[in-house]
Amino acid sequence: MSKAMIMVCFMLLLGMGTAIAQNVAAPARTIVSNPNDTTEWKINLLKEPNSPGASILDISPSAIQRPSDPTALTVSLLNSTDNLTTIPNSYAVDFAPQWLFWGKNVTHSDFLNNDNIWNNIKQTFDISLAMHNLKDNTTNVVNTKLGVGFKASIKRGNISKITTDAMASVHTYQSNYLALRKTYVNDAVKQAKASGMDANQRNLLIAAADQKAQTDARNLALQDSIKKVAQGLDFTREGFMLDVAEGLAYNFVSQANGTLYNSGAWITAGQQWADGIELLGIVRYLYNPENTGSILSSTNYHTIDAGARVLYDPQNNKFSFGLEGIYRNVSGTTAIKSSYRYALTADYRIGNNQALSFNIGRDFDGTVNKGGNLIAALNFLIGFGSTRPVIGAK
Amino acid sequence: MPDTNLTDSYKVDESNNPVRLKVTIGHGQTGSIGVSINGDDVIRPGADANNNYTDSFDFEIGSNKQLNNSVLTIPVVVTRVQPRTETTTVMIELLGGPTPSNYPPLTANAANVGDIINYLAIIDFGN
Repeated sequence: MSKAMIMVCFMLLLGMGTAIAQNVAAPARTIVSNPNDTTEWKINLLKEPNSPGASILDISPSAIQRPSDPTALTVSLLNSTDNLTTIPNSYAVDFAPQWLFWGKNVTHSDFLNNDNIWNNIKQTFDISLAMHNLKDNTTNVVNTKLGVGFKASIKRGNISKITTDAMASVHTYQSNYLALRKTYVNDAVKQAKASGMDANQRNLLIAAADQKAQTDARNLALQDSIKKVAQGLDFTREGFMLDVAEGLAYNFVSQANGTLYNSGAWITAGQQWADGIELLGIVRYLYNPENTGSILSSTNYHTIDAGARVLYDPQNNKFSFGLEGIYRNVSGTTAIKSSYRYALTADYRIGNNQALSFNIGRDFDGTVNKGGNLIAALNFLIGFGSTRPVIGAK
Repeated sequence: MPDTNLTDSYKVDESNNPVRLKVTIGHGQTGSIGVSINGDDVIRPGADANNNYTDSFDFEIGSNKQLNNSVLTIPVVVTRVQPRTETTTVMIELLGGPTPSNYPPLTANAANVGDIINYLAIIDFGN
């Protein structure tokens, strides 16, 4: 299927996201593409994106984002449609330079390793660009905000024991598979030497022997075993995680004359346990220049957010839910008071790569991106691309 | 275009200087690597029960003099385990001869998680 067709289908699927209230903060749909993938776009297994560019524009589905390993290139479409009449008005592009440009240098043990902080930073460094269009219904003026962000993980947690054990099985099957290939290849090398073949004849003989080994019934069976175990691998990390991020955003009134909208930095830390419980905390500082930003103030003002999010998302369970709460302290202005945000999120995985998501809660006072401070949304998401059965699931 | 085979040569001299072989499977994928000289397995610390190596290694395979007129075969099987990228890569490097090798990385895409890619390198030593 062409990318264009996939995108059309995707837009239609976005229309299936049914908002039950007008003031919507909908979960993001994430399309993930590999630069070498010429066949189709794939949704990132329905996991929420961790995009600092979207965070600084306050358009990400959750204010406290789960630390996660980045993908080489991620494109996110955020915010639901307006009663099914428009395409999404927010976009984010994230890319991880290490995976995009220097992925050949990342070994599997580098990927698994959590102890080497520099290694963690290199692999998780993420550059994010986000855009949000907001139309003023009174003046019909469209304001465009552009955000840029960076993030990296200092600590990213460890791979679970169940995955480590499954990897050991993959290694055993691979080695047995290779042993048979090696037997064929080594026999061909010795046969060529004994018969005095020149290098070209020998190489043809070796290549033919290798092909024969690959289609040997024993290796075909091993290939199936490798595939079966590998498809069940889940590299979700457990243990302590620590992300640092920063970002800044510009506002282009009438899509011209850009001025600094806000800038800031934040730290997200948390712990994920093997039973699927995750506790996250965030501390975030934002600077908002006068006469711009989400609240128009005649003075520069500053906000400091502190909050926590608890999630229950067990590997083998279709249902997951979370609760987050953040207190925002505002200083430097009388235009807005300190306030809080809370939200309850629940997801139910209906089938392979399909999920029903429900969000409800209250946003910070004066939040204008969403047209108000009520969070209420019901969304249906479908993922394209390969499905990944959970280890042990029937 | 998948590039899974390497057929090349490596120049050695008459010295007893050691030649090192370095093989790396990249993009966070996992794989098994075999090393044989003239059809016999090269066994070094880190080898598994089948005399294969997992993911990457860097060790001596003999002296320049010993390796002259030998053939090195390196079959590799790589499994795509990363949902984040379908690229698989194998990099092969030889050091210790008069000049270091400059082989291009071997690379191929695995469409789905769990798919395997077979690589094979054949390198002749000579002076």
